[in-house]
Amino acid sequence: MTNQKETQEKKPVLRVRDLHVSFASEAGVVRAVRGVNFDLYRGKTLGIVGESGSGKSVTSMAIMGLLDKNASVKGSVRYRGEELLDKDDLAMSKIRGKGIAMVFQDPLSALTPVFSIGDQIKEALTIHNPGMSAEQIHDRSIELMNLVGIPEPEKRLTAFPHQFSGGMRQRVMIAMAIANDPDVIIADEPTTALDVTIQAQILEVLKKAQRETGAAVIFITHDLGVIAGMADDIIVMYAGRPVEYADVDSIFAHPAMPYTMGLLGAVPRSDRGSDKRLVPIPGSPVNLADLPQGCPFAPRCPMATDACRHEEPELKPISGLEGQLAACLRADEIASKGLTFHDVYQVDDRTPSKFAHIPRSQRRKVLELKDVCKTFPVTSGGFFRRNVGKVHAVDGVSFDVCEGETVALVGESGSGKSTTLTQVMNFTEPESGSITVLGTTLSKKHMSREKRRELRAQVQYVFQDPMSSLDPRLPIYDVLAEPLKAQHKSREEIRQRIGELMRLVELNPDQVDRFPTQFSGGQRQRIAIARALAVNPKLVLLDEPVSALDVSIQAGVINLLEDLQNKLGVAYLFVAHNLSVVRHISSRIAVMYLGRLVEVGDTDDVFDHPLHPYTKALMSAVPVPDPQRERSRQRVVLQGELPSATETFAGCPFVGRCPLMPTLTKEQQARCMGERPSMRVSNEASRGDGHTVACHFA
Amino acid sequence: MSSALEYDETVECEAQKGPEREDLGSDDAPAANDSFKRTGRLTLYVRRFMRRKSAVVGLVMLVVLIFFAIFGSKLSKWSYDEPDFTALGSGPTADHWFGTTVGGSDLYAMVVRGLGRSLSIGLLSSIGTTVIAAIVGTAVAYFGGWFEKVGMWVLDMLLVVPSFLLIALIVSSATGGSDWLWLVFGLTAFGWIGYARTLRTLTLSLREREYVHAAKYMGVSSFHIIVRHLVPNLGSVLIINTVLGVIGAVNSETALSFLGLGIKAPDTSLGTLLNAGQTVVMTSPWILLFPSIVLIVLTFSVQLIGDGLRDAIDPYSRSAGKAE
Repeated sequence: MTNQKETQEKKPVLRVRDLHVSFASEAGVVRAVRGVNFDLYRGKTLGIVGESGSGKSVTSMAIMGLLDKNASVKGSVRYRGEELLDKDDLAMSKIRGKGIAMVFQDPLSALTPVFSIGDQIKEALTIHNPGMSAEQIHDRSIELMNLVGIPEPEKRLTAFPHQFSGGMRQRVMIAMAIANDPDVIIADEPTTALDVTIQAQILEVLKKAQRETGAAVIFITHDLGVIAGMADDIIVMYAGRPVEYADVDSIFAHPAMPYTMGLLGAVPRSDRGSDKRLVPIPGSPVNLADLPQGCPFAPRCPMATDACRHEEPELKPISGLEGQLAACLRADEIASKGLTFHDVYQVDDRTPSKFAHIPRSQRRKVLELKDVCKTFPVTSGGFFRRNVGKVHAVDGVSFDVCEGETVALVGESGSGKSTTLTQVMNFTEPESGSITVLGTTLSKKHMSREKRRELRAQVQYVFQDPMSSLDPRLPIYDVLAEPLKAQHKSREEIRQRIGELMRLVELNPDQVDRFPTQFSGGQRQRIAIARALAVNPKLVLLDEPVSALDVSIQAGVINLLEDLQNKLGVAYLFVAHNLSVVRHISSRIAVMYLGRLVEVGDTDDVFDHPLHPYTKALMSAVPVPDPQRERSRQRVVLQGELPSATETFAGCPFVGRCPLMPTLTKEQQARCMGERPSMRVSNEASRGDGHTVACHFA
Repeated sequence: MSSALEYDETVECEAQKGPEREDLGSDDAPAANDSFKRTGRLTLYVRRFMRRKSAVVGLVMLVVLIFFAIFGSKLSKWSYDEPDFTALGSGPTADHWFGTTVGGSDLYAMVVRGLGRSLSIGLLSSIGTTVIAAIVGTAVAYFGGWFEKVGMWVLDMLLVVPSFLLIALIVSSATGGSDWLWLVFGLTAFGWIGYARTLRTLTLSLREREYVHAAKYMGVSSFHIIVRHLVPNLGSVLIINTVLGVIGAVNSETALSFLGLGIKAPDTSLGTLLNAGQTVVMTSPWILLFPSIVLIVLTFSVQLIGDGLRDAIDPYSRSAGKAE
């Protein structure tokens, strides 16, 4: 038995050779995957990284045989020596789920809403084991649910997908994937739709599932931090081709392909201060229907030579680096000279801030929130729609934003970050508490039109998705003119200003008569930022402004935001769930949990010395793009999920998940449950400027 | 009539202005450092419209029809209200190009006159209907709250009004030559209600779009949000409504005329002519044939223009031309 297992270990369970996938489209043939090769061994994890459109998901779909009919797949995929690409759908369905299983990105759409969880796990089991008895199925289901950490599995078997949270659904997906002890698990961005604390849990579950089944895992992601902690080997893909292949330590320690370097340089890191600027990769990803001649990365590559533009380099070993392959003509040169991304990419210096030498306490406050509350009524589903309760979306939030600084609001989804922003933007008195914008307190009393308009000009907003926040039917000129027209500027002023704005956000002013659809995602977000800055506001509220963008594009937008702040002295109130971005861009940070603030302080202070147990858990859950650090890190993995928003808490809302709770005495625990903690300066020696925390015992 | 003409003339004018303005822009460019090339939104739409051959064909057809309706009567010596009693129900001849009706009226003159009437009725009432429906429908949805509730009550109440009967009463009480104007009024006043309800439903999802919120946060007034964001984003639906509305209005007018309540003799319309032609289709088919051809050309041209307009204002269409 052991002998047999050993021979298995040496033979790859999945062998992919020269895989090509192309699709027919209106714009021509899209060559989504162009020559992928790899061997996959049991117990190993292969990470595939790349930006959107690099062909990573298409590769996995081709292996599973799940591509549309309009796709042409060439090459060879051998699973235990069997060729998969020759099999028809019926033959493939014998292997799917049993030999190769898949975990999808969106657990909401991957589960059928009309069947209970138990039925869906049962289906996964019986389809490959028709002879299983009802009792066996039940026992196996319970076993699986215990394995993936779903509490009270007996009760949850009869529950339906909508009764599960996102993280729990993803656990169910993993349970179904490992139900038949597959040899290969393909996880396609399994944690992208989840919060960072839940992401940490799911990654743990995936690792556990791999240990239990001994399966090989193909882990597809765009997040370099996640891959650093998960993978053994990494393939970096660009424009449908693997451009670099190596084990995880080599890739992160000495990347040899300029694209990999760019990717690593473009991600902000949560474990370091923001002394350095990010390195954006110039240009935008290639059009797969119209690939340039030569290396597809050449148009964006700072090291490209004429030779790069003529022939496409093969993926081949780099001299001097054992086991590392790169598709780059200059890889040997890079490896021998030991070039890093600082040598390859130009990093321009940061513009000095207008307010650099003025201490925070002497700056003017542009926004001040005091005990702001916002509740939403919960209505019963019946005919009369009675109010049956309240959701405390924002519950007693107080903080302020000064001139020229960036304050970040962070927290899991559902913690009330965006609601807080809308409270400010609505320009009405909050349900309780007060909002002061540039010295004007918003009140129920009728504000004169004139006054209101002036105030509007001082506060602007940038949305998460630039596609939906720009009217698709307006040319860019009219998009940018809108805030100016609302401020009654003259035609000549508007024209002048739009020219300035386009240059400010580094776009060509001659493109003003194009429609938003004709721009790429990063360019659109630049337009949205230009629109927000059109009227010279003092404060810009940004709701996840970079989360819809690819890493290389994101870096450019973050740099732009920083430069604009330093040049114009505008203050940002920044909402983001990506804590690495927050660490990079913000000077102060406010952590929210279930509508309440739990910790406020200077960014470096909060990241390096978090006080509140929730903040600690949040910070430790952020994956860092550094495999050695990832392995040695101690994680505070939070138990459970965000409680339902309709619950009301007499004391601290975090008690149910707090890792501090079991260490406290009975009396102390009673205090946590009964008494609401208020914001105070910590018991520990006060660090830095106004670092406050809402915890009795932190 | 005049309004319908104006509508087309503005389109024509813009088309001519287009390249001119562009030239001005590029002349400016080297002069001042800060200026840049910009094409106005209307120019942009006109250019996109003109890129579509079929739309231009439709526009030319409509212009020809309008000229025919205005100046066609000058070409013939016969007038629509002067029957030629020497040629009752005669086929097309050198004297009567399209033949005559059973009553001896010259069919060419009748078609010219009828086309004018139908064009004005069709275009005026369908454009009027669409404009009212678009503004009321989007406003009801946009403002929400009690405004929406009251608005919906009013709409529902108006829906149960027996519109056909009321239009008939209004038109029959009208005197003199203005009965067709009353007909347009009646068709418009009762035609928009159903559309408004449909448009409200469509707006319900539009009003939650981020660009609408963005405009609100920028301090753009409600009226401007409706006109600049909501109505244009309903563009495709509105244009289809207008195109179908032209055909619908001609139909309603025919139905009313059949009951003797629409256009009254000696005045005529395409609907009345078709109606008259139907009864004698076996003996004098030309009476049905010529008005039908004209009506088909009319609806076809409106259809082509509608398609062109829809694509011109739709940024996702291929009217953007070839990418550089």
